[in-house]
Amino acid sequence: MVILITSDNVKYVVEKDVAELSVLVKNMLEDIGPSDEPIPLHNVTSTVFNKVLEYCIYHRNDPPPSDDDEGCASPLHKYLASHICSEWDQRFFDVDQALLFDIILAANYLDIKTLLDDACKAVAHLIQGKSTEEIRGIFNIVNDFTPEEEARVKKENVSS
Amino acid sequence: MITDLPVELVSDISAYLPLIYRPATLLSLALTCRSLYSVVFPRILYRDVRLTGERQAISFLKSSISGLQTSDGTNQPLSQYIKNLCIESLDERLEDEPKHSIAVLEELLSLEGLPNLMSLTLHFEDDSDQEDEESNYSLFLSSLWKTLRSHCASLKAIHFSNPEYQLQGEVIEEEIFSSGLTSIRLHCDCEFKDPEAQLNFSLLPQSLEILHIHVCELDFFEPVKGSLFDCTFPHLRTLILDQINLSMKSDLTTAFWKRHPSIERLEIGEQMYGSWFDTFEDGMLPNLKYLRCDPNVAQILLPHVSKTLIGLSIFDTFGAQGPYLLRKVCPGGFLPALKSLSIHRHTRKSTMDQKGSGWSEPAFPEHENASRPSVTGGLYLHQKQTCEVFNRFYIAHIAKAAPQLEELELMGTSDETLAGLTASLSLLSGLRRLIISSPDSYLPFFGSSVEWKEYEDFNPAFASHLLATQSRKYTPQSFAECVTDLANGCVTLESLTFSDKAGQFFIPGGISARVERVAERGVVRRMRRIKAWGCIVGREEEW
Repeated sequence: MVILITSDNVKYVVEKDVAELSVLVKNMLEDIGPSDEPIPLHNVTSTVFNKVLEYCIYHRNDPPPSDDDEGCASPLHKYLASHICSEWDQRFFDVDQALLFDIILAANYLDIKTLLDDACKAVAHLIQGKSTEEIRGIFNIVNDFTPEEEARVKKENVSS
Repeated sequence: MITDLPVELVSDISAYLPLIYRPATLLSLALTCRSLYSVVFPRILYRDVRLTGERQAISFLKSSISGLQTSDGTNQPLSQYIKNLCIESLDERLEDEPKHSIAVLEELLSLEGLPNLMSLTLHFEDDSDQEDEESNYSLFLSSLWKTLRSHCASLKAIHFSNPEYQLQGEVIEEEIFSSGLTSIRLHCDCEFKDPEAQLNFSLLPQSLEILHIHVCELDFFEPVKGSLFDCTFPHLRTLILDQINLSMKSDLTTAFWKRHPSIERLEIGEQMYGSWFDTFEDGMLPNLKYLRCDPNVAQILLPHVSKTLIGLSIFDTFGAQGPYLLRKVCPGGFLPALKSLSIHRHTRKSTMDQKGSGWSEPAFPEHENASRPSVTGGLYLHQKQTCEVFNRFYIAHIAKAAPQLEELELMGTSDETLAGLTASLSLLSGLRRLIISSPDSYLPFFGSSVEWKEYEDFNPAFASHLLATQSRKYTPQSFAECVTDLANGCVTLESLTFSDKAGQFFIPGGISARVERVAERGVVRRMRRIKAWGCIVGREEEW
């Protein structure tokens, strides 16, 4: 068992194989050696960590992601080939978008590649094919361009 | 907030956008606010660039050249960020522009304007002055391939399509086959007049992961120059062969399939006669996820691969062969992983016996009916239902075989009511994209679509007199009306496309629209015309 403490001082006792899905935690455990010392997770709150933990427990037995970089298979291809998003994953990421971005930041900090990939894919899915106004609506973004700036940016950049 | 994410995470997110949506979605994202603009521009926004039309292509390429020439070294010229470039130039040459976009591209390349290019896609349809310019055009291309090789060290993929272009075997072999690429796609529709122009497949690089050959009258068995089926590509994952009019020997193909267990996508396209699969043998295609073929090949492969298929496209079906293959030939009548399905169904009757064309499913047992939503018109009656056209029963059979479908393409005709169509489509609870096709040699899907002004370019007048003999129950008066009707009836639908080609990804003659709803699963607020694409699942890296 591994003891983890989130930034809001909530203590979690987690099985080692689950905790080690985080490369950050795995490396820390290797560095400190056998010890009962709790590991502080400075950048993750308990709200976000609950979700991260739920994901790690569900995916604890998945084969680890490969680091095979041979050939030109892109990250997208490797992802599609190795990991087809299940219904469970789709439900897991059906959360409000503030939490979704917190999950991304936490997965990045904790270095959990599959969670980061899945969460990025969930965001890509949200914005895919959408117009500027639709994206502003989804993420509550306030347009701070002047109309002239917006027109200039549109004109200067190709896209089709 | 998305605006709090660092550049590398926004870059990670954008990598999961299918290429066909990527540039437009990233521009939308960049235009939302200043902070996202500064994140996306220029590195992410200019990684993937698609230029449409000679005018846009030439204008962008020329401004990139001048950007290079005037660069003072403080800012990296935009073109140097490009990794994936697509030029789609299907119109006539510009009268006020002496140079072809290919020539301007070559100039940019030779000035080190695209040093990071990894993939180049060229869609041309340029038959202007073919007689005079044919040889020039080949020289042109030959010179382009040479320049690419000497100025783009990272280039891995070339996709060249020009159905009007008479392929020059030697040029292709020397400059493309011998280049160490991992992805080669060629679509040149001309017949070889000169037997010397046959391609020598033994020159293809062993590093190939993707091979797509769509060339009429190409002879894979030319004994002197090397057959494709004698080759071995240890990492081959996509093999697409189309329109190659030849007879095939099964001993060669069986050995080829066994040597290539890594194949994930296999398309044995139209006019591919012969024995591609006489029988299915153990060790064949263990990783197959995407399949496109005719009913004969489907009949042999589906019993073995249907459980893991994500995409399936069947063309040249007659009558009820589609439902027959899905419900009777696939074990359990169920394809649990299938996300993408395309069925092309002939309107005419076949002159030959087509297995399964007259098939009808025995009435579904009582207990299966109870767990299903009932569909207008008594879909699950205890009697045999005909599904020899695209009607509610046909679509209900699809929904029963593949309930997880995300996209569906139907090519043929329908005599169904609007209510029947939307009720049966709604059985597919995750259906996002619908593609309806009717090529010019067939009757239109809806009787009225020949009249649509958006559609008139490719609908021949002769269809109208054929229509006079048909009774159609749903006759939308415009494309917009059809999109609104279908999307209001089928609340998960995000886009509707009308295509003039069956089972194809690149459909320049198609029309397509995305719907915006007042709320999730709500009524349609408005529709936005977008570029038409066929089924995209599994083709996220193409354009």
